[in-house]
Amino acid sequence: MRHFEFKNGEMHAENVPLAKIAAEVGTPCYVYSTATFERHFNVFKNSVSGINSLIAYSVKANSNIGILATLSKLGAGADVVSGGELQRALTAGIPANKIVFSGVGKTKHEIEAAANAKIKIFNVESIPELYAINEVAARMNYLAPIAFRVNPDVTAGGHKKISTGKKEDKFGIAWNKAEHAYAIAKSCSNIEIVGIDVHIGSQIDHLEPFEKAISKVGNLIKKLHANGHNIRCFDIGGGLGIPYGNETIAPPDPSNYGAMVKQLTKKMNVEIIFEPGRMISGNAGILLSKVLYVKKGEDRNFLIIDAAMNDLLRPALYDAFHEIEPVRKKPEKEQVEKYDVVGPICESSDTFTKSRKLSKINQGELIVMHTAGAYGASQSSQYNTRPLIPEVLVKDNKYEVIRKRPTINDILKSENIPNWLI
Amino acid sequence: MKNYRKSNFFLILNTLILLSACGIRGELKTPPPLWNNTSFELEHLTSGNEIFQATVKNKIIIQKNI
Repeated sequence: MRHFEFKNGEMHAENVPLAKIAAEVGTPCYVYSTATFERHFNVFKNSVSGINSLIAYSVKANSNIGILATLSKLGAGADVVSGGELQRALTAGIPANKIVFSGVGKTKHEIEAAANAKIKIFNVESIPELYAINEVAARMNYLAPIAFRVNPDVTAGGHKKISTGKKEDKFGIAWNKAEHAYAIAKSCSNIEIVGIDVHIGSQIDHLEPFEKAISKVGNLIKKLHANGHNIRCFDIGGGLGIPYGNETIAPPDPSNYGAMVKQLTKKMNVEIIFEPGRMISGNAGILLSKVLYVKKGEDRNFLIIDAAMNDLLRPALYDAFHEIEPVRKKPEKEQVEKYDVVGPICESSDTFTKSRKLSKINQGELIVMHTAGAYGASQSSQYNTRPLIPEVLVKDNKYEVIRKRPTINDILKSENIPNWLI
Repeated sequence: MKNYRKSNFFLILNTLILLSACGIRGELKTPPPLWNNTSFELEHLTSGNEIFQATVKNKIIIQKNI
């Protein structure tokens, strides 16, 4: 069931016409569907039912507190990678005992904030970081629960920039040093070893890399148990691919993923932590934009839209594909043209697609970019002094703006001309 | 001698064109800065913010775990 679909020739988000949102909020903006978030979370939850588990939503995919609160009400925990994301998760009502703290470079301030909140687990990525956690915990008279993120040297991920589980990647403890790392942790006064963590990448379109990594870590867990370490959590990360619309093979079905994990982990006697992000939020959001100009080039046409790479970075960063449609449905016999869809930013990489066949689109028309709910707003910036764009959450026939658009003055207020120039 | 005068003429002409292109004649090629204009806002974008303010006005931030 899609919650962004045409009704009477107009694309709606659930029961709200996108044209209404564009008129009232302005474009460009992100529009999210509550029903899709709920459906995706419940699909995942049902897929892993029967497994002793925690679903820790990967906050980096879409970190708006309105979205986090929506997922919190469904029982989600959170996977955070910074002090800022930790504060977001707590603010949105996600219980601290459902929060895992990942990331390669936690600062001592961030560690202290997480220790104060009494989070579930720190996913530790290096020995120096372990020492930093131990030092902060000792100062606070606190026993920090940790898991080491291990690097299984497994190739996965839809793009080289989102692969994280190979030995040349910056993530995790090197595979051949993992047992030694646990021995060091055991000697730390304020560290409690509770688990192990692996995350091999993102937008993974087949199950084999997951199987390989989970099996490999399963064998390591056996060794660690034998060495006297009380490993009771196994964080298997996220990374399940989703359909963007240009796939040659369909991404794995969540139920097959759940069955595979269940089969591989049933004898491990550990709690499994899942970190889905894109799977929950990717297709729950669209980017709504207006065509500013249609420019006839020498050998192609350009749709210059009011959204840009600062609003949705994925195409420029990962060569990512997003399905593009006009908000008003075109007649079937409408002329088809090839377009380069570009934003107003002064970079050639500010290009959403090249030579895409679309039904003829005119200046002033509204278009949507699908599958923009993950790594869209959360990666956006104010490059070219373009204010962050609003985020709108729809529920049935109502909507709210869950992130407002800053004014140019809001941006300038945070800057200063030094005294010696005045 | 004649050739020398001719090359001097082109040298001066090129210099003038270059200075003109760089804006050194005293004309700024960029619009004046906005620093002191505190009333500047993108008018057509403010309605969404009114909706935002209206909806958050009476809400209590959840934040029950800190």
